[in-house]
Amino acid sequence: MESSGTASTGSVLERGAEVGGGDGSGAEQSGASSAIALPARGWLLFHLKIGLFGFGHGAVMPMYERALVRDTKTLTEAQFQEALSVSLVLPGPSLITLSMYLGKQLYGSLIGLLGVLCMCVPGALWALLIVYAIPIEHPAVRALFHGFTVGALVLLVDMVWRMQRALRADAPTSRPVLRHKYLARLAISALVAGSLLAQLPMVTVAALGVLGCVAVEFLA
Amino acid sequence: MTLVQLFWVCFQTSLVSFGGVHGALPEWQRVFVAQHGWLTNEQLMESYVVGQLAPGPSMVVAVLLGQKVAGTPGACAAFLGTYSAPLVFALLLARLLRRVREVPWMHRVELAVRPLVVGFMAAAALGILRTQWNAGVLPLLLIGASAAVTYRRGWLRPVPLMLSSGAAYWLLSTLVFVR
Repeated sequence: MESSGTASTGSVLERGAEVGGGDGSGAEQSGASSAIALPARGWLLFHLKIGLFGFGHGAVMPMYERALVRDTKTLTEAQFQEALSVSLVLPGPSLITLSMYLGKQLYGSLIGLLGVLCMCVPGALWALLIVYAIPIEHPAVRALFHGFTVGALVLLVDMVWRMQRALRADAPTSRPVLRHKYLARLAISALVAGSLLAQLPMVTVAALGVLGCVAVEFLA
Repeated sequence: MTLVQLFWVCFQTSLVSFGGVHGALPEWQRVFVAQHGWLTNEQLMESYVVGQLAPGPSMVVAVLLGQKVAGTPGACAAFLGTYSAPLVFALLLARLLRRVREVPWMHRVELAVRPLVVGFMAAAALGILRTQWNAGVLPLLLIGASAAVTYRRGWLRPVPLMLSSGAAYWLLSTLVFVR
């Protein structure tokens, strides 16, 4: 975590729109001063690509990293990780937040907004097309959709399982205090799940959950 | 009236949905199905699945819910509500955070709220499970188990997995469960 890289994010990136070329030889220097940055058109095309072909939430974040850090050196790894952290902490779907946050910093509000639209509109149109075109009441379609749901459920359970493993990885069992922390985190997860299933309002659950999580993290 | 309500519901839900669509699913279930009675659980699941099969951010499910409640205007209201919520925060906070410059606690808070995300997603999974359980236990177990094995072995990517589960369910329902 180098603070200088973070601090210069705004100024370095405002060049992004006008930088089209340059040699990438010194790209690993701090602040990435002589880096090739992704032009605004590339940013919009990238979002259109996600909007048209990006299936699955988990697969999209690495695409950002590749486009911005590894392929074009628009951002340093530390800058990208910082933006990712910010977008995960801010309320709302983190993909949209990340896109808008980076888009605004790199190219200004208008291009940022256009980027979000490029990403969201194709999927929405595609989904509406499915809904209007497919006779959903037909028994065969109904069966098909039941199967889709089972598939989606398996994917979801797998994701929950992997995330729960990550909770444990953050708290190694060799130290008993940290094991308690892991148990506390599991308990929070279970409580949150239970209260949502009991149809408590999300806002309440989220507020109490955040309090509990932060308490465990910073006090335990 | 309904459009404004739709916008507001989607705006709120979008804000509290840590972890994307799976964070929002239990809340949609509560508001759309239980509170307002706009949709049935089955319709919610259909929208969820279509959303999973569409490219781009999976919050697109909200658009489908809006469409089911109030047609195309509803879809537009839901779209605006869902996507304007994070934009507001990203725009405001981008300026603020650039001024603060370094945010070392950010990563720590992100780590800290992970149990919350796990809880939200577990609730979503259990909600789906409950609906599917009521629709038929045997195909759920059969296809669920085989899909789980297929996916864990890495034989199929997510979207092909969903499509083939659908095909399998349809085959089962036509071949075996003919009534």
